[in-house]
Amino acid sequence: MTDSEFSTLAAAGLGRDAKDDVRAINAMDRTRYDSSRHLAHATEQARERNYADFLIVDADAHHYENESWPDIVKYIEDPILRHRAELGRPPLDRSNVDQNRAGRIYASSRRRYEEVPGDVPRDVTLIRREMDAIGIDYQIVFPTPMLHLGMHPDKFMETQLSWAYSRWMTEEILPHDNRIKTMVYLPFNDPEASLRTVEYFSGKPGVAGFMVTGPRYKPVHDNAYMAVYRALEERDLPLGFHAGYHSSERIMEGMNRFLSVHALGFVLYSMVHLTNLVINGIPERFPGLKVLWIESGLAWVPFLMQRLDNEYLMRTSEAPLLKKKPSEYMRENFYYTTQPMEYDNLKALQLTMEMINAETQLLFASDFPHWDFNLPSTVYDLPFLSEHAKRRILGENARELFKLDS
Amino acid sequence: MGEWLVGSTADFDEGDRRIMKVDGREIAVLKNDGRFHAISNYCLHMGGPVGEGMIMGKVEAVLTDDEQYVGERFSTEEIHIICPWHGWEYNIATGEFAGDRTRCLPTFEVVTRDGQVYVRT
Repeated sequence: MTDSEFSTLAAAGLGRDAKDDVRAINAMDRTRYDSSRHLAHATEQARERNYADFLIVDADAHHYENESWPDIVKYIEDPILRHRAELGRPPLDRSNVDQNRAGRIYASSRRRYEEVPGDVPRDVTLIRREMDAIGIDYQIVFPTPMLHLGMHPDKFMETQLSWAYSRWMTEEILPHDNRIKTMVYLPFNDPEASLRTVEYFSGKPGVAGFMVTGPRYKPVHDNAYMAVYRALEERDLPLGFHAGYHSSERIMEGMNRFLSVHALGFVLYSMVHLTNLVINGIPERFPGLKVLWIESGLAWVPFLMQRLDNEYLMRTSEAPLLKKKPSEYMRENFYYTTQPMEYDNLKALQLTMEMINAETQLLFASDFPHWDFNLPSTVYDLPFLSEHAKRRILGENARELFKLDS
Repeated sequence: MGEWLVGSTADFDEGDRRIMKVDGREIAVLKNDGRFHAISNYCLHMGGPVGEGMIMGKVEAVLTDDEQYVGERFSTEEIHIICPWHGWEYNIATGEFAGDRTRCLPTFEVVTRDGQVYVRT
């Protein structure tokens, strides 16, 4: 490169011609970028050191191939994988997330294109439309990507991000519609922050309770959490454990399908946390604490009832706080949401509902717009439920638990 | 029971579909690989609008002679339509549900005559 070419490049990189002495920078502009301008000082160094006189080789540099993903996909030889990659993001990590199966199921992926009028926040409009379309009167709304925050290696991140989200929800979303509620995210990897969260958000309009995301390795029976349970019990606010899977869960390293990871992952952490709560006598220490198990379906509950009862009866000395069998706490102190209801075997489902005392302990949930959402008809069309039981499950149990209309 | 006019054959490009109401119930008429099919537009699972879903070949596993799994492919003979609510898949020709072949989505005969498409119920 000649000296004059260097001069031109340097001048261009500095955003001026050689005669200008001042260049304005818009510090708030986060979108514009020009490589030559950004590296203008490097260009000056190259000229000053006369790099043009000898060979320089860069043995390691990068580009971002995901920015050209649509051009790359066509070379994938396996037709199924090519199809999955065309409508999804590059499946480059272990997550193997393909919940919407390359566009086969599209409510959650196309939602971002839905047009809204703009008179209220976008989320308010979309939530209202979904509620009205399905026939729902009240909806407890939860985040989606934040369901994985409990696995972040930096607990400060969970505390800070969840706080910001909860402030946004309670200050900018919920006030627009009394029918939209939330259970505020508890950053459970930090017990003190969790207590602060309960104290700050209790009583805020639209706050129906508090929620812990399941994927995390914390022992929920640890002494550090007793103050949180006490605070919730005193305020008569329910505590939800929202299920989730973790893409890097080691026990699932051998599972190659999202179907498999989801089937087991979404009950795995619920089972661990429920077992810890019951066996360590949390329902005995806090008999007024209502715990809700969200989005694990129902089939896991009879299994755990039977398993824990059988083990407990042989090892009562390991659970000295218990005065009843584990299944009794599960039936009397705990609540469950219906989705995703496993209703292919109605006989098993009927027995399950009897075992969990569905008429008082079960709450309908849609999980919309996720790929395995349910509708009220999922409950309403069950042939073995009385009309009274249907109405309890579809709304009255939630009205009591969340104190709706009060 | 009867014969219902859907539209003209010229209105259907490959992959196009029309949703029509017959006696209060929706039927999806679609064109795939040059042929017309008509199916009930209510998924057996939860009533989703199955006629609006993607159409693609059934996914088949490819095994070696000693049962090793070496890949997958789309069938060119069994074509599925996929309900956009939860992904239930049906054979567009027979209505058979891929997860349980004893269950079938109702299908209807489609006839073309003088450049028009009719569905028979």
